[in-house]
Amino acid sequence: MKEQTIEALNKAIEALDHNKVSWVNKHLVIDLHEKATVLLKSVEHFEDDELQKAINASQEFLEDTKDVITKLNGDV
Amino acid sequence: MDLFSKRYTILVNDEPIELSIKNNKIRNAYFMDNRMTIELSEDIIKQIQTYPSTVINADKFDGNAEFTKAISKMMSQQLDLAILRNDKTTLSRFARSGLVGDDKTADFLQSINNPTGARKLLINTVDKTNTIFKVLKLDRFLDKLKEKIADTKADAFLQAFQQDQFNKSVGYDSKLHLNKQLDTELVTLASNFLKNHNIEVFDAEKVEDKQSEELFMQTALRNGFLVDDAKIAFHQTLEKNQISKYGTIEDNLNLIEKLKDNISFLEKQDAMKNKSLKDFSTISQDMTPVEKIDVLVKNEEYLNMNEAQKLRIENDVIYDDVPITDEYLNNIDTSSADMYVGGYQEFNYNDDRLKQSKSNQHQTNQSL
Repeated sequence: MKEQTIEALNKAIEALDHNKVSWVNKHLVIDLHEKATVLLKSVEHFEDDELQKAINASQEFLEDTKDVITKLNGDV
Repeated sequence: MDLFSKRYTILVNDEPIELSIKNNKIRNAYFMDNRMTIELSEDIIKQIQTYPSTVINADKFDGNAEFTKAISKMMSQQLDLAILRNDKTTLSRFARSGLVGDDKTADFLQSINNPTGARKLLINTVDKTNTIFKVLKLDRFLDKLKEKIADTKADAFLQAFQQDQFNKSVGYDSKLHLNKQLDTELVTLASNFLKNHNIEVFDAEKVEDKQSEELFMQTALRNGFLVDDAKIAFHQTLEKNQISKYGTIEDNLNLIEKLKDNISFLEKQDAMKNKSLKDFSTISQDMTPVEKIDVLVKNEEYLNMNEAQKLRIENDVIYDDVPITDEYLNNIDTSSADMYVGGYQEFNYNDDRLKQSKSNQHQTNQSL
């Protein structure tokens, strides 16, 4: 589960590239990129209960950002 | 120290952002003829200032997420404002600029507000993910994370993230927060911190004091407390220490009033001996003229005066309410007697003239 989450987060971080969007939207993509980075670091370094919390939060984050990532991968 | 602001132009997709910078701070920022707020770090401001030209292309800051975020946020605010105000000039300028590159349809506003468009989708996603981080209690989470990773790049990022959280924290208000109940462990932590760092007063303008405040907030976070509570605990303990040492302002004002009352009481008590005229003045403050006479005739200094001085004192103090000051008393000593003696002489002189006049009249009568 940990490895899968790390992989999914890495993909999300790669997709959340502000260069793909226009200037008025860049800060929103950067915000999501920063959040994904914090979650990735948490999953990589936490243990036990904290790790589980981080994985749950990451799953939720990935679910919420699914549409955005799809759109960004389509190079909107 | 700069005497004047210097103007710089940053070109983003050929749209200029006008910045005027003074003393390494942005004084004004204009975008599409509107005054806007841009927050840039000192590092970026220095890069702008040291650039060989005053016109800088935004490409120069490619890869600088902080710069991109600040500029993008400012533009986004400008766009939202223009939509709210239905400012067609600004909206058409945005439409032509290429700054809103995606979701192009025939109607610009419709494309911006399209619920499945990139902008709306991103705004909704940022909102949703904010909730995840709120539930996680991000402050504690970040701090734990900071302790566990030795990745300096990520550490700097987390530091900035945490600093942002500190800046967003509640401001301390004595009226609201002085008596707020806080976790006793947090209060003890604050008390020990202030003691160990020898902090007695806090000046928000002083860098050292701000650093101490942040250091305590970091310590509190590491111990599992929230940012807002930590800030309140820091200032609340500081204020309570001040009160226990010096009392509240109200206490001090009351004390001054009490001391004034005591002094006045002691002065009156001493004056009851009715020795000097000053004693008389103190005792007789609230008396009627008749009562004043009763006291005055027993006053030692008054009894030792000559008749002229007595007369003047009676007239001045009893009937004319002249205040008895040192100057007044000196006058009494030196001049009043002469004046009154002079007064008698004048009277005697007049009396002589009267006698002379009467004698002349008598002589005239006799001759007649």
